[in-house]
Amino acid sequence: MNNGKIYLIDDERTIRLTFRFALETDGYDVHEAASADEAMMGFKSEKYDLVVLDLRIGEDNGLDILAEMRRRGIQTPTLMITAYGSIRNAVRAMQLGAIDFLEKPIEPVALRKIVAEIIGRHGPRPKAVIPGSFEDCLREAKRLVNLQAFDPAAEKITEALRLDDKSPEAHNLRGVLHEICGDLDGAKKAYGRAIKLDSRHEAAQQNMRRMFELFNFGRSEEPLHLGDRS
Amino acid sequence: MQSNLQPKHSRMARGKLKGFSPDMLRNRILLGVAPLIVLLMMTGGYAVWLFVQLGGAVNTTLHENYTSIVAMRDLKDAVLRIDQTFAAAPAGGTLPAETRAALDKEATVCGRNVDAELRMITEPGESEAARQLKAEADIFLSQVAAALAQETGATAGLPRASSKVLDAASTIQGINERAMTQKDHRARDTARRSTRVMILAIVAALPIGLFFAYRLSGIVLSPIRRLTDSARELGEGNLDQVLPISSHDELGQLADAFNKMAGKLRLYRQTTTDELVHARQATEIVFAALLDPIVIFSADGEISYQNPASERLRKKLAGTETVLPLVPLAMKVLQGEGDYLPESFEQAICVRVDNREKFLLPRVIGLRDGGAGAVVILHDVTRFRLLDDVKTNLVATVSHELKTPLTSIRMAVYLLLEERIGALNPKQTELLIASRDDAERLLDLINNLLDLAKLESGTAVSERRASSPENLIRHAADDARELVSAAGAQIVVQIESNVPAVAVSPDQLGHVFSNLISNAAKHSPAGEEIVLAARSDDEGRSVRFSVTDRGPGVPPAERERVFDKFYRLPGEPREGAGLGLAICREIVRAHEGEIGVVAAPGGRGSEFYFNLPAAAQAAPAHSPRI
Repeated sequence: MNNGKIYLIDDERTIRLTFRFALETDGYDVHEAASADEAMMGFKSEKYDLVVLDLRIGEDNGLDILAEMRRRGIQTPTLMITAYGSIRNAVRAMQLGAIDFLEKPIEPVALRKIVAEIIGRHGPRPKAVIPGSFEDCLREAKRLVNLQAFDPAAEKITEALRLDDKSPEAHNLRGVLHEICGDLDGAKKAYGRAIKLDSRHEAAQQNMRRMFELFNFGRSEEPLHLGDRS
Repeated sequence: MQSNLQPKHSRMARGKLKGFSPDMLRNRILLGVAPLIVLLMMTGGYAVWLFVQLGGAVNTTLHENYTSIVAMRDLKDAVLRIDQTFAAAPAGGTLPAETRAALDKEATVCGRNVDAELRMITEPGESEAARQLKAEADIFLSQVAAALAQETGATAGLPRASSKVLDAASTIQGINERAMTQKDHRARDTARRSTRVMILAIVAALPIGLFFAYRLSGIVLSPIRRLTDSARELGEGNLDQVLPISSHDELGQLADAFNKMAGKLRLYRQTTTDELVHARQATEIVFAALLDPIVIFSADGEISYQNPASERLRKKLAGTETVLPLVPLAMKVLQGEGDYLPESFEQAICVRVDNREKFLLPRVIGLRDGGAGAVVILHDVTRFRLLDDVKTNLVATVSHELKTPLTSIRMAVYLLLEERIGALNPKQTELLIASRDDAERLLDLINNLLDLAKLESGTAVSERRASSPENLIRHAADDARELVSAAGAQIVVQIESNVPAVAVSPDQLGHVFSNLISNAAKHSPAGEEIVLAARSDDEGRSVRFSVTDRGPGVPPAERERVFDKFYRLPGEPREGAGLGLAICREIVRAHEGEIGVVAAPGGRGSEFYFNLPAAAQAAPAHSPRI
């Protein structure tokens, strides 16, 4: 069974081990790298469906690895693993196409769910998803963001919202896109809309909080939330 | 007061005692006028003398001449009447008695007038004529007397005698009339001379008077002019004015007073200048020593001063694109918008100096409400920012270091419990469940610690919205219902009507509620109610939220300490780390509220409450204080 090839970049041996077990049990082929240099070596020989990247790799900054990947033209979708408050610059990660974050501690179920979603986003369209439907547009928008194709992504999200403007998730994603483009006011408005639609929408709330902190401190500890966690 | 009066008094006394003194200006003026008065008196005296002499001489001489003339006229009239009487009398006839009496009377008149003339001899030659008149008159009168004695009216020789008398009288009359004419001429000459003399005197007095008047005005005016000039210069700030004191008169005293005043002003200026110089030096030294840049703007928005720190900063920023928004900040204050005194990082200006980020918090203070300029102080808060960063980094590091191993542990336990790697026997499962529960507890503890650290560092800030207490409580009740019913209790919501809205971060407040409710559920006996209430407090200025349980309650002595970190009530099972209430307190404090616990109404159980200011009174957004 091979659901996809995952590149796990983390300097913690125990994390690599447990993540590998969690993912292997779901049929993924897991490759590992413990440092930035090792990670770059791996990209030379293999092509992956997903990179799971810890924001802290020893002395290295996960964002720098991500930037280096993009510089080398590696557009592999990336899931960022963060500890509490380790995202210094969520916008930079988003601009590099990484809009999926997972905060430690992580249970196997949540990990498998988000990994499946990201890989599925980049694979063939599931039969359940009707082409051109709201779900399809949202999925496509996220995929385009991963590929740093922000303008088409924005079009897709607009289309999705035309189909269903009561979706907090779509508004949240629109906010993320606004933020990537540097339109902080637009982002704030979109997050606010998402929260208005669902006051418990955790991703939107977290994004809003981050916006608030950005506005007030010029930086934020809150990671960007795409809303694809359960 | 006394000291002011004293010299005045003594000066007056001295003036009185001295009486006349050439030092007094009044006396000098009098002295200056005196020659004029003397001149006036002399001229006037002379004129009076002239008039008196002239008038007197004319009067007496004319009077004497006139008397003589009148006497002679009367004499002549009397003689003629006597003549006529005798002529009319019948020759040899007896003269009637009344004629005799009339003649007698006429003779008496003649004699009297002759006597009068004799007394009035004034002119040269008159004496001779008078003597002759007397002789002739005596002859005439004796003839008259003889005629009367005869009673016959014989008048032999009488007409001849009478004509001689008449001649003599005419002579005297002529003499006097000539004298009168002469005197008249003389008087006119004298008057003409006097007029000339007077004109000459006046013409001579004019330059003399002018000279004295000029000298007098010089004496009085020139010191006044000097004083005026000096006062004007003094007014223009030249305090080094000393007037020469040339006299001891009023002007001299004035000059002296002026000099003293100028001296005192000099002294005052010196003192004030010294103080100013001192204050300025002190200020400049302090400004120079300060590392915070300070810029002072004048009222028109121009920079009037900047300290060395500011100069250094501006020099370093000169080549960069960074522009300090000092002018717009200062202008606001200069336009009277009030001082700009931000206290939070958000208003700090970030600049790059020497490849390092510098955070400058601008504070603008108006001088006299901005009317006289504005001071901009760029408070360097970089260190505070760094400290804040260190703290935040510490949180991040600790977070990473604790969460990473915990993630592995939990992941491993969860994976094993999934039994997808391999089957577990019941004992293994039991052990793993125990591990999982404690891993969860550890995670809670870490999360709480991090929350607390964030709250305490002021970085756990989220946007506040005006929220209705009813919504907040209903959400909290909905969230907790499951937990509460699992504990065998039930939630009751009591909300007063017209409770004002509160400006809160809903998720933070939800955290407070969930903590308080879960505590209540833990201690609530089965079947009891947990009451969630909100009511308006402090005359509508705040809202009091409360969570009441029917549990054992908190002893009064412990009521303060239950909100401390890691504090547990004595005898309480070691569940949780004792951070929940500490977090609640931090959140409530961050919302400018206060939290506490009291005995529940009725005495059974406890009531945890917190007050939050009503939205109108609440700060619009919380920002960390430096």
